[in-house]
Parts: sequence; C-alpha cells; structure tokens
Amino acid sequence: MQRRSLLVATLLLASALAGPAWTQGIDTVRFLSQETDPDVVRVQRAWVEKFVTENPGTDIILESAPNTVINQRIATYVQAGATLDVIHSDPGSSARLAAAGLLAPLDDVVERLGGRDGFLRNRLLIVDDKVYALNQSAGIPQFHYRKDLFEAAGLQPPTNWEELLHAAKTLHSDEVAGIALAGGENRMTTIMATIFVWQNCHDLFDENLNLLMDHERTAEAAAMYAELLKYAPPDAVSWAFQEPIESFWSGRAAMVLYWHALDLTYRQNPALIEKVGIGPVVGNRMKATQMGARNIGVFAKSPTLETGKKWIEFMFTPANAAKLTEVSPQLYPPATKAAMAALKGSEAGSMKAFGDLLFNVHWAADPYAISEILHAGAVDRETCTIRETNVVNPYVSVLWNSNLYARAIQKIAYEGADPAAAVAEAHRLLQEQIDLAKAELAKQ
Amino acid sequence: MSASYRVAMAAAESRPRRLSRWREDHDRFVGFLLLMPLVALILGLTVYPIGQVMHLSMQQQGLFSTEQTFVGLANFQNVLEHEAFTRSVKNSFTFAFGSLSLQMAIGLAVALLLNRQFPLRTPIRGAMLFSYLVPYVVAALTWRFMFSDATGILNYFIRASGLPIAPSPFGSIDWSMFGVIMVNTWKNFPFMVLVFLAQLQTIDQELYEAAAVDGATTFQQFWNITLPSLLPIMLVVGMLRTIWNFNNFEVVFLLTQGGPLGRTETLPLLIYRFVFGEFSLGRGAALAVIVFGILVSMSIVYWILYERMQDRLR
Repeated sequence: MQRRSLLVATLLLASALAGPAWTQGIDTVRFLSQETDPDVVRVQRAWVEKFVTENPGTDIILESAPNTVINQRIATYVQAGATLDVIHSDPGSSARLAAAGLLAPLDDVVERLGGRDGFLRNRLLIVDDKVYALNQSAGIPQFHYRKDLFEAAGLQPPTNWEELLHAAKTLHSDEVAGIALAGGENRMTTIMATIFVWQNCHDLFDENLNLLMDHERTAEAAAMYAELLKYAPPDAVSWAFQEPIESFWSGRAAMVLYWHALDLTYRQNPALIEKVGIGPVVGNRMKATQMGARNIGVFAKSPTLETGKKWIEFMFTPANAAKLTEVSPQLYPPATKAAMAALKGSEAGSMKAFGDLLFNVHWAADPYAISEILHAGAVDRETCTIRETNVVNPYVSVLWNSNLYARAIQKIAYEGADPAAAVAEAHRLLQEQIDLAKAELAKQ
Repeated sequence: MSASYRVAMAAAESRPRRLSRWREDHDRFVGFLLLMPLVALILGLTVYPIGQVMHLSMQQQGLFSTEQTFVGLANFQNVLEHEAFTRSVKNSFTFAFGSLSLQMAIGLAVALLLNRQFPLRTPIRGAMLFSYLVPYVVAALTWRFMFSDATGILNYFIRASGLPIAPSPFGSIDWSMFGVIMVNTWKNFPFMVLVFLAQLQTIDQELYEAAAVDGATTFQQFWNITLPSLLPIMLVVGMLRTIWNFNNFEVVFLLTQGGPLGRTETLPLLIYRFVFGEFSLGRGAALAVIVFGILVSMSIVYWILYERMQDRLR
C-alpha cells in the first residue's frame, strides 16, 4: 500500500533511466553520492570513465545529493521501492541502514583490498562481525588558527580548555571574533559540543547504548561551549556547517574548529595556508576529537550487487583513493595503509602546499579521534582514555537530528539557563525519542 | 377529427419532446464524461494523498522501512505531548498572521498609490512585481547573505550605524521571528497589490466625486467607499494567504531552520523534524493531519465571514 503510494514517479524515472541499459545487458550501478564539490565530482567522473573502460558491460550512474538532503533521497528510494545500489551516506544513516539489514556485507571487498588490518582506524562499519560500509571521508575537526593574530598577541596554540578560552577572550574584538563556533540548533553544534563532552572524560552513550547525557561532566562541557560562544560572532546562534568556515576565511574570526578548513583555501588561495596553523588536539580531562565519515555501502537488494561491490573496491584501490585525497586532503584522508603509503611520494600541489601539516599534525591526530557511530561508549570514563568498543550506535542519528544537546547549549548561552537543568531536560526529551527509535528499529 | 389523425398529431408532438429528453440525457452524459478527467485528477492528486496521509498517521513506520504497524491514535498522542508542539503552533500563528497583516497593510498602501495617475505608472507597476517573481530559495538566501556576519552588506551598515537592532535578525533570539516575517512579507506583498489594484479599478469613480461634493475628506472616502469595496476580496485573499503562510516551509527553513531556540520553528518545520530528524513517518503524518484540520477550520471561519459580508452588501 505504502510502496504504491509514495512517489511512484521516482520509480518510473528510475526505470526509465535504467531500463534501456538493462535491456542491452549492461550492469548499471546507481551511485548516490553526497559530494557536490566540483573538483571532487570531477575525480568521481574520471573514476567512472576508467571503471567502465576496465569493466565492459557495466555502467555507473553518478547522482549527487548534498549532505543536507541525502537522507531524504535515500528515504524516497526506499519508500518508493525503487532500486538503490551504492550510497555515500552520512554515518548515522548508514548505521541505521546496516542495523535494519538493508545493506549488504562487504567483507569480500575488504579482503580484496588487503583485509581489515589494511584499513586505518575507524574506517569500517562493522555490525555482528560483518563489514557493511567503508568510511571514505575520515575528517578530523581541529582548531585552525590565524598565526599572525596569535603572534601579535603573544599566544601559543591552545592545548586545553583554559588556554582555549583565554585565546578566544584575548583575540576577541569588534573587528575579529575570538572563535568561529557554530551555535545553531543543529547537527553541527551537536557534533562540536560532543567533542567537548569527550574532552571532559564523559560520553553521551555507554557501550550498551544507554543515554548518559544527564551528568555533571556533560553540563560542564555544555557550559564551556556556551562560554566560548560569547566570543563568537553575534549570529553564531544560527550557524551550522558552512558559516564558521566562511567567517574564518573572511578574516572575521581568529580560530575555527573544523574538519577541512584548508582544503578549499588551498584551491582558492594557496598562499593563505602559510598564515594558518593547526593546533594540537585540545583537552580538559583528556584529549579527544571526532572522526567524521561519509560511508560507502551497497544495498542488499541491489540488482547489480556484484558490480556495485566492484565499484566500491575500485574507489578504494590505493591509486584511485590517492587521487581523491590529493584534491581534498583534509576531507578525504587515506582509508588504507596502502593509500597512505601511496601518498607519501605524491607530487600533487596540495600535498606539497600543506607541507608537514597533513602527515605530522592533521592526520597524526587520528589516535585522539572518536567515531561515535562505530564505538558506542568510546570514552573509558574511569581511565579517561579512548577505547574501541566495536558497538555500532544506530541512535547517534537521533542525537544529531533532534538537536536537543545543541538546544541545551543555546539555553545556557543565550538565556542564562542553569547548565545542569538544561542538560537534564535535553536528556529527558532525547530519551523519549530514542525509546521510540528503538521500538521502530526492533520491528525491522 | 378522426382518431387516427389525433394519434398521428400526438405522435408528432411527442417526437420533439422525446428528442429533447434524449438530447438532455445525451448532453448530461457527455458532460459527465468530460468531467471525468478532472474528477480523476482531484481524486488522484488530492483525495487519495490525503487519505494516504490519514492512513499513515495511524501507523508506526520508520523512514528507511516500508513495514507498517497499526498504532491507532498513538502518533497523535506523541505529537500532542511533544515538547515542541505548543511552541510550533504559537510560532505558526505568529508567522502566518504577522506576515498576513504586514502583507495586507503594505499591499493596500502600495495598491492605493499605484491606483493614482502619475508618470511612469506602468513600468513602476511592473517593477513592483519583482520580489513576487523571485524564487523562494533565491530570495531567502539573498537576504541571509546580506545579513551574514562575515560578508553581509546590511550587517555591516547596522554595525557601523550603531542602531539598536540585531546585526543579523535571523541569528537573534529576539528578532528572528520578525526577520522571517519580514522576508516573507517582502516576497509576497505584490500578490496583495495585484488583487487590491484590480478591485480598486472596479470602484465607480462617481462615488468619490459625489462624496467629495458632499465634503467628505480623503480618509472618509477611504473608510466609507474604498474599504467596504475591498473587504470581500480581502477576506478571500486573507484566507488564501493564511493557508499559504501557514504552510510555508522554504522561508523559515532557509533562513533559520526553526532556530534559534525554536523561536521560528513552525508546524511544517516540525513535520520535517519528525520525518527526517526523528525518522518517523507516522508522527510526521499525524502532525500533517492536525495541520490539515487547523487549516480547514480556519477556512470555514473565513467562509462564514465572507458569506456574512456578502449578505450585508446585498
């Protein structure tokens, strides 16, 4: 009933597009990518051309949907009962899809790429000891700072909360904000604020997927984030993913916490890289940051499953993956040890321009990076260390989409709410939503 | 007159009647056939989707699943108990009627001006339509860009002038609702101008001349002639714009995404949050049904007012 009712047009369109290829005996794989950066799309198109040449009788249809609408696009396909093949989804959704049994295991692909040991940390989405997705974009948020402003103020890059707050306060003026930090009620703020929770030796979920938000350390982290927002530009209260980096690039902020602050800068103004530094991973009770992800998976019911797997393998071969990294080194770090080795001798302009920032500072932060999707309860709250629990958390998507922790921070920052009370309320509301999500997931 | 003659006459008289009845039936049948495509369209594009949403509102279904479980009215209960529901209802009414009031006031003022004779009236009337022709996405992003802290020209002037308003209304807790209403008004007031201007041109000028002879002031002429003539059309466009404003998603989503602190989260955004944020098609559908009910109720009120107005004018 539902299948018939929702967007039949999508089904027809999909059939119309893919139909002619099937009738000619061509294995067509639809690759739904969230990449819209023209330089990266160019690399993807070159891959398609090469893949089709090397694999006669196949075709790859590249379909781009920005990260803000990729979930809607996937849902539309699922609800319409239309064919979905390879997807490039956000990590929360891929965890939900894997938990719901909609993705196909990719262990054979991983084996052909050198086995699990050949992959770097947090690159494989593993559920019940089966790999369901490969992380193509393991970006790590770090503090990028303006060297000139820090030098003029006699400041060193911050290493802990106290120094961070001091730097933001010292550098803040009418002309330049101390820090470009998202304060909107959205996923960006939630992710960034979660980093502060980890740095305070706490976590929002334990390894049994219980919610831990209502805790004094979470409230302290929220209060710290709210305090930093005082030194952000005045409209930070509505900021999401794009605004912090725009603010930093435009010279309106002295620091920014971001994944790939320099990738576009390099392409648009290479000389700027020398003026920007990447600070060490900041900590309070412990050092920690996040690891982003754009996960590649293939739908279990894809009619061209084997070709889809071949396409995934093709994208992750060291030579092909290196091409992507060379275009956007911070957003697309290598996923395998082999790709990392291939990049060491790279002559690409981006690799040279970044100098030692990539290998020795940015990518070197990997041991401090937490993937909250792959390892629920990654923070050992007793020892204040990072651990690998290998418990995939499908409810991070609820945390990210409900924006309740972000709202708690807004209440503290802009309404002067008590941090403990704001966080407790967010916990209560989030728990209700997680209970509903658990009930829905249990049926699948 | 023979009996056979009478029978023949009666048959001759009844033939056109039968023919006429056959024609009537035939015409009715053809009319019915011609209506069929429209009926099918309405059933397929309006009635069926509404029925589907009502059906979905009583199911539990995830975003990435086609499995449904009947849950009765549980989704409605979840929606009504949701922390954002009451706030979103209030925001929706503020946004819808705030926009409507401003659109009507500005639309009426501009229409009255454009109804006068002055040089370059025609090109100015055309230019006035500009904001209505701009797509919502372009309008919203342009306003947002102009108020951006990093690059916004308006933000720069507000900061430089020291005006006691937020440099970016969309990022201000106190000014965000005003900001989204302002952009929605800017985008849609030409619709009001068009409708009011068309109605103003139907008012008999002799009424104004007679009123002027009787010594009526400009305001008295407006109050006693112009406004009563505009009231029926004001109710109709008021109803349409209320529905459109109430359902508006683009302006608020593109400018504030419902923030800050839920200050601009309207019901359409909450539906979006249920479906794509909390991955629940059932709750999204339940809220859509509630919104449908609110809009139908408001339409009935408007319709009753319109009928009363028409009765009074008759």
